[in-house]
Amino acid sequence: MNMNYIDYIADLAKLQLNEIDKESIQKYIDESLRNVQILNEIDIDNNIMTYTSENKAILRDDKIKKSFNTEKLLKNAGNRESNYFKIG
Amino acid sequence: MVLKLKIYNLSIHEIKNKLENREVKAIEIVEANLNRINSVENKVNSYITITEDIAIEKAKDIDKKINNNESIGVLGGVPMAIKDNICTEGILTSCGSKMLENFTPPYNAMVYEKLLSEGGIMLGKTNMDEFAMGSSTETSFYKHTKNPWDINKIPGGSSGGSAAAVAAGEAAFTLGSDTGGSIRQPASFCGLVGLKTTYGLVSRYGLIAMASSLDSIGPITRNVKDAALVLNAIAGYDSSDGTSINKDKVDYLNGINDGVKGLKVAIPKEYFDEDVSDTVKKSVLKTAEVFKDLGAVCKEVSLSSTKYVMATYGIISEAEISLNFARFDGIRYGHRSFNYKDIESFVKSSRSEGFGSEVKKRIMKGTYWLSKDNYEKYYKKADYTRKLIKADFNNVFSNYDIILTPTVATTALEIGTNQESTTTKKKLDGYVAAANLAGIPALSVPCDFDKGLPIGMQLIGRAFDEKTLLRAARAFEKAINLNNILST
Amino acid sequence: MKTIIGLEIHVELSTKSKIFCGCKVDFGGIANTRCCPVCLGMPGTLPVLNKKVVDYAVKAGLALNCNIAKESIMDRKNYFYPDLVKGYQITQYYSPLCQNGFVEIGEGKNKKEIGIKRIHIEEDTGKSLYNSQNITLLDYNRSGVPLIEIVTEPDLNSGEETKEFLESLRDILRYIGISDVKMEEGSLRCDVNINIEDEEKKTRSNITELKNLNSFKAVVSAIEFEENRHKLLLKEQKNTVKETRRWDEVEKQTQVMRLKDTEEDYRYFPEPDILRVVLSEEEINKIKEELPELPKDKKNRWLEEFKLPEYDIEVLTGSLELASFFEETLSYSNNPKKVSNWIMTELLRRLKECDVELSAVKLTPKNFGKLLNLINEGIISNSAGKKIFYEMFENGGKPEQIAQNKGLIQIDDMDAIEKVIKEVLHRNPQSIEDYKNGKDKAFGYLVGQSMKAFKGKGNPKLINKVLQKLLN
Repeated sequence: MNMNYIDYIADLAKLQLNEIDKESIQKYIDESLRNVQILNEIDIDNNIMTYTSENKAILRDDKIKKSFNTEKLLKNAGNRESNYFKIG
Repeated sequence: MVLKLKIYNLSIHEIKNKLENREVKAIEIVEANLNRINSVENKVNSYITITEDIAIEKAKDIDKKINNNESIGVLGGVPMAIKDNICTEGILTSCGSKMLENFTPPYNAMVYEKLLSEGGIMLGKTNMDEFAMGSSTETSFYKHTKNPWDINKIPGGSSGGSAAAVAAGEAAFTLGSDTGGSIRQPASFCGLVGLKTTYGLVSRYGLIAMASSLDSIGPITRNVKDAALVLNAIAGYDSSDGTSINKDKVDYLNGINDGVKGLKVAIPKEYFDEDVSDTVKKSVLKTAEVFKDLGAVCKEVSLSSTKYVMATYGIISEAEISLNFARFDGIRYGHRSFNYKDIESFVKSSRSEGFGSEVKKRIMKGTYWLSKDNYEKYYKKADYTRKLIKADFNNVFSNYDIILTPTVATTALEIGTNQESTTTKKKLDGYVAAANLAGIPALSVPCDFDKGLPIGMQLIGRAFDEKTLLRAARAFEKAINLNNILST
Repeated sequence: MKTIIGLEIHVELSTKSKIFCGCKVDFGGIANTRCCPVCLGMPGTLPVLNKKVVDYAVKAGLALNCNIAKESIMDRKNYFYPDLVKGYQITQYYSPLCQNGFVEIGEGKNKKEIGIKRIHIEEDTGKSLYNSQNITLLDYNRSGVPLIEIVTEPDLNSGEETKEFLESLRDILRYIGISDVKMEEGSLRCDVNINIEDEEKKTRSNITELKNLNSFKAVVSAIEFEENRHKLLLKEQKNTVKETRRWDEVEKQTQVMRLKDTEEDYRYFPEPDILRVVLSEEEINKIKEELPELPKDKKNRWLEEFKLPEYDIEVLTGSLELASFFEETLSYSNNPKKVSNWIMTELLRRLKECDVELSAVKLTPKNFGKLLNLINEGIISNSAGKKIFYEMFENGGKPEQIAQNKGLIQIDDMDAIEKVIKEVLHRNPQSIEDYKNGKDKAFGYLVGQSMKAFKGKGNPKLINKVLQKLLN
């Protein structure tokens, strides 16, 4: 589990980590990798679709709902310009 | 002479009785709770937000309805608090994090809507581990909640605030969320009843998701009947939650006193391993004896998949966390950084400033499990093992009705205990996470004390069979008549 | 050197509401007014799948000859972008709804099947607008609009073929009524993957992805530009870089957008908030039965049955509405060429003039057919027919009634006709003279005068007949 890969993961996750954080995360991942070794005991059947629930989806009808108040939606935004969310 | 219970220590059923008999008014109940909060909150730190005005307003409204002989709902006049990861419109919903320290949702979670419509009186939002990631409520950005039984001990987590509030008399009941034990473990540490519901029974709409396929909402109460009553109010199909299951409505109070004659109780030996303290082991085995005396059959079984639970839970929960938390980029809500030069650095800074270290750690691990070839190598394996764990439970349930285990390996740990070792993690979470993986219900019930600290026993049941769990717990509760009300 | 082209096409579905919430699907409007906590991905919200989206996707799959999956799941495609509210897009990666279909293009010997690799459903993102001061504005009205993504096999070999394929695809999708399919409005988006193979030297160029193509014309131009660019580089023993390029309509060339060297790590993951999408045999069959006859089949059938010229067929099958109007009219007036002519000259022209859709017009196929019958039987003249047509176009109504009310019914009482014509002849002795002397023009003049006398209500055939009789 090398530092380059940590940097790659941090970029995927859009996180900025200082060196100390990175080192401790590297340790955690290494430890986790040791802890999950136990799963190697299990032979997995590749034919089973990896999906947990056995239930089927209940779909909704194609109905239009009353429109939601735009002000309410924008209220929590840090930055806005008239009806738009804004960055910069 | 029996000590008269203070109002703030009354159970839900006792409150309802007193309101019905006009012995007390709703406003008196609420004021008693608010006063209690005022006097102990600085010691316990259960609450992030206290909604005093809303509570008083609602209490007055309930009293008016009572005077007019109008219906007030099954929880009419009962003071409650909600874990701070459940959305409450117009009220701060912070998830115990800096990321959402200014977030007021524009909508209500379905469970909150239901409680309101049944007359529940909202006292406030309770403290929690940041984004529900933790086992002691010590990762909260705001404060550390203390265990009311001993303020040097942790209340458990992540629903530590919810548990402490009920134990300290600051609310008659609370709602918590349970992804890997977060309702049951703090309930056990705080001497309360905590119910993790079957996945799909209670709507998740409005619960700020941690791990979507593992999250469940449930009540933390002083006794079993109270838990059944709250469950009646919050359970049921919700079309705005695609994982909500459409089942016939059940009355969980119906038959709750029917006893356990002939009930078949399985005791899995893996849950009584060397990491469980002797006192806890003894207490839970004593519980088995109580069940036997009441007419149940108790036998030892083996749940051989137990050794895979922690590894499986780790991979699956972390992977789902890493995906669920991608939406926090500071643009539409949440913490936004002022330290950036372009969109990319804006997002990175906002996230890194807003999230605490435990959250960042789990996001990183989850991203790792899903990146490049790791999905095939690790995640698929964990997912497959999850099916094995579920099958293992189904196997036991083909011969038994409920499973009896300790909830936690010990009583409450000291605040500040290092939780990094695998053994400590297992002690805190290892006996509760399996129920989340299997999507089945599990109930923690106080069964004993050790040096003044509560011990909890856990009952695990078939999917959607909360009724049997509640019936068994009620029989046990009646039999041992444990005093779990804090007198100070 | 062989050109190899594969397409990735996104089609906006014309459902009423979005794919995971009840917000309205529409075009334009004030920013963020067709949003809700769900399509904004606010914490705690959950997606619930719209049944119509699945139906429409299955319709598309059946119309494109695909196998329909009885069980499929949704997946999360993870990447960061300001217009992607959850930090992931809900799509289908592991198990698309439809697979292994094809679309036929070309005629006769040049007939070719273009393979459809897969069709899946997914949600659209919001829109970013950039202004000059480095500020990004975000409008999420489009976030959560339902899309199907159609991926073809790399079976296309030229710009022209690609254009033909896109036109066929557009016609089919419009016919089955699942989308407006308008590239200019963004309801049809096409990305092109192209490279060149040199079979002799056994070399091939690296694939270029082309984006930002806003019309079929742009698709063809971009492909042809790239063909040349790839061929030139290969000839010089060089190669293209694997990259994404955009088509610049002004400069008429492709330009680099971003390098495609590292595959983005999308960490595809089954969506836990949406359970399995299960379709029974019955449900799929029901959708199949509801499918209309597809354009190509209709054209072939009309060629055989009606023996109309190909040009006519192309025009009349332009839309399912027009084709249905034509066929229904035929059931009342069984003369395909006549009906076709009237539609192509009068109806289409009037629709264009008034700038209305066929569905908005009050004229019904039944009355239209009856009108044509009246003309054919000589009860009204052609020009009277046109007047009645305009009336029905505007205000509906029955042709016989309108003809009566407006006094347009041709006179065909023989005695009355004879009387009037006798009078005309009486007034024009010179013309009779000229006619008898062999000047055919005179006959035409007399017909004209007779028509005038009848004030247009004369039946030309009968006038002719009577004139002939009286003159000879």
